[in-house]
Amino acid sequence: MALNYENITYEKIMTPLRDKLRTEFKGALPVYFDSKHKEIGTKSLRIYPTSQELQEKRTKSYLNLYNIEMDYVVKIYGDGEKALNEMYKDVSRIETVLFNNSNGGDIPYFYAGMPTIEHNVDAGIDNVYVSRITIPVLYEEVHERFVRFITSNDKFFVTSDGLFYIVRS
Amino acid sequence: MAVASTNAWKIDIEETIQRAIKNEFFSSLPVFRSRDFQHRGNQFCILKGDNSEPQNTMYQVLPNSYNLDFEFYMLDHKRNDTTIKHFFNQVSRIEETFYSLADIDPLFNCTINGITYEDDVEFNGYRKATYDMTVRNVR
Repeated sequence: MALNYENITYEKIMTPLRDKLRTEFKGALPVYFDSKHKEIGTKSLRIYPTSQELQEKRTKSYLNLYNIEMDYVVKIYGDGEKALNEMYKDVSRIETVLFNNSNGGDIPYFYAGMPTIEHNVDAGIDNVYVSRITIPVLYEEVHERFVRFITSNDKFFVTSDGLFYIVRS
Repeated sequence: MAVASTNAWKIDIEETIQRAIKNEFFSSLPVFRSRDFQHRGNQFCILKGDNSEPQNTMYQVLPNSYNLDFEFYMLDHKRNDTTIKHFFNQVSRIEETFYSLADIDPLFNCTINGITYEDDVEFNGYRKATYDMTVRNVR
């Protein structure tokens, strides 16, 4: 029988973050998930996790820290000063959105700290300014708990909450 | 006379992990133990043992911590929202499989210390998640 599981990284970490930013910027800032940059409009925001780290192992759950990387990309036009001002303004706005949504409400996650911001990142794209925003997100994952019973003939079966059982030989 | 010994890395650790993944994914996610990366279909895993550390020396048993890397590869040519969602769905499912494994076998304690994501040109379109795992086992 297949296990019950949740797509935590995508559903609980990445999607709420993207939705909050989309709500804030409406259509003015395309926000997408990918590990590589896409050519979208004059400015865009790329979101992708780089890693997760176990913080604490509990009896029925695991507390993990998810490191999320966001690259803000704006195309340079003219002498670049306008684009630079726009980048600083938008990055500050993103930072404020994250600060104002430091807990997930009905979704049990919260940011483990304020984001770190690095300007002038080399993302391998020409004629753009790139600002990298890195945010740590904590999430506690509750997992299924099984109990093991051994039978008299050395076989065993495993139960969860009594509603069903899994037999392994 | 040769001593009787158990091939702990193979039988107790790696084959237990292979069996758990096979029970959950059947043949859709093969787990290989080869060290060299080779493209093998749409999705596959490679299990790499790193090292083992002894725990307390005990009478009649050998408790060890085994450190492994479990690499999951998924081919992603489309690179859209749906395929990214599917990739992380598989990552969570593998994670849950390891956690359930820890509960089922009393001699097998599995911890995922972290997962790192890579997506390099050298993988030819594959997305990669590397699980840094520690398995405590007594034999």
